[in-house]
Amino acid sequence: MTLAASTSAFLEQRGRAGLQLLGSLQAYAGSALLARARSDFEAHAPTSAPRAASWPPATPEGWRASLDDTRARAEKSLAYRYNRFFQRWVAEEQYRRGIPATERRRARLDVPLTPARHSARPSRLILDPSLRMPGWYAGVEWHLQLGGYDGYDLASPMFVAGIGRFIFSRGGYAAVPVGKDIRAHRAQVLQQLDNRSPRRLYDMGCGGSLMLTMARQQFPDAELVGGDLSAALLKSGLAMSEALGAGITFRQEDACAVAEADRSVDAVVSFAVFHEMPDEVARRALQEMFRILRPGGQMVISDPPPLRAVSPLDATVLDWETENRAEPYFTEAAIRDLPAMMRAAGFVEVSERSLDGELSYPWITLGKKPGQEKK
Amino acid sequence: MNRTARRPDRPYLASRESDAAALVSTQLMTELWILKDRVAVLERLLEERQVLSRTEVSEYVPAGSFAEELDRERDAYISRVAGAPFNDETDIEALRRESDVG
Repeated sequence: MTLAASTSAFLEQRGRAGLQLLGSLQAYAGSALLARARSDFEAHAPTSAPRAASWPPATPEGWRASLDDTRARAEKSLAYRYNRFFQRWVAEEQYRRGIPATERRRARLDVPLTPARHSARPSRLILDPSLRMPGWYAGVEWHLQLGGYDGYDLASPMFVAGIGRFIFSRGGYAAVPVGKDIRAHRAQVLQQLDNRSPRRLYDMGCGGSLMLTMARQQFPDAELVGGDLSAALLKSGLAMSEALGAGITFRQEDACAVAEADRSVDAVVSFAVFHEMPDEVARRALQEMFRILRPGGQMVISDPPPLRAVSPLDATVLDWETENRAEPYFTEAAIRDLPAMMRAAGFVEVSERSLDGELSYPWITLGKKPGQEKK
Repeated sequence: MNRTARRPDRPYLASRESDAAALVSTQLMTELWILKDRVAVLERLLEERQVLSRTEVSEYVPAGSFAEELDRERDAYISRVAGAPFNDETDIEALRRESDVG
């Protein structure tokens, strides 16, 4: 198990400066160029009625027709085209530059994290070597990451020391505006849980440990459990949790079949996971989370906003992710009616809202399992 | 491990040719910044430590193994910049090997 020893594990000058340039370019594309593209988009408003007369469209076919129309309108803008060109380039280049930069620091980065001394809270990792990766997940190079989440052995330190630090921290990609910090969003999402003293909390698709270590700050006495398909992400999560003494259990499992008993958790959270799932998988995962929740338990989902909640240009930008950033189900997820899916799974008091009204991001969807647990 | 996610066929700019030209210039922009950053770092350190003046740097002529090192670096640089439009197949092993070049 290896991970960046600490944030002091800096990259050397070439790696640092190259990744910083990418972060600056992405921020420029996501601010100045996007603002110019927005202005051009309004200037290119159609003089005749578009194929889909109303916004938002009501059907998947209507969405496709509308998005094709808005993309054609957006692409009349040179600023929009350059914006997209730079977005794609940064998404590819961050790995082309990040891997050599990480390799030049392998001796420093390929070291175990030091577990917290005297921690009363041991962390655990339960891998499932017999787990078959589901077809919708296997082979996808999510976000253009070479080999997917498990492709490169030093992917986690590469993010900590380089890509996350210098590029993602700037914002300006997908639904994340420039200057927004998705780490802070996680804490904000956890604050939406009604139950401020859950006994057991489950993070569906936990990836590494970010959401759960933040949950530890808000819920010092809770049992924290995370499940994910990626062994590499879970291993990095375990290392970080041990270093922080956070006492988290990580389990390699499919969100549609988790190793939790019926009615065993008080709260389920999920951050930036549902947009990576096709509809049928999202439906089954919701049913599974409903199964493990105790009566009265709550689920909070945070994901990019649905297309119906954003402007036509922003919907075009989000739709672009599907074809251009290895997000095969992004549009499918962004036009689904997640609240209706939650109700169909049995959830009540379902609601959705933006945590930042103006920008629609981060977007949360909440629901509760009916009933009240017997004392 | 090769990248399997392919670029879409549709160009980002007006044509595949303009995408190619923009890739070259974007790579150049990145490499130029790395260089500017490095020079700024060097000048700062040299000044702080009173090691040498800017004139001494200007007058220096590379020779021997240092000249050969610069040759290798320049070749890799050309491959990265001029080859940018054709650099859509990425390979982890090749990137590991790149760590030998500055």
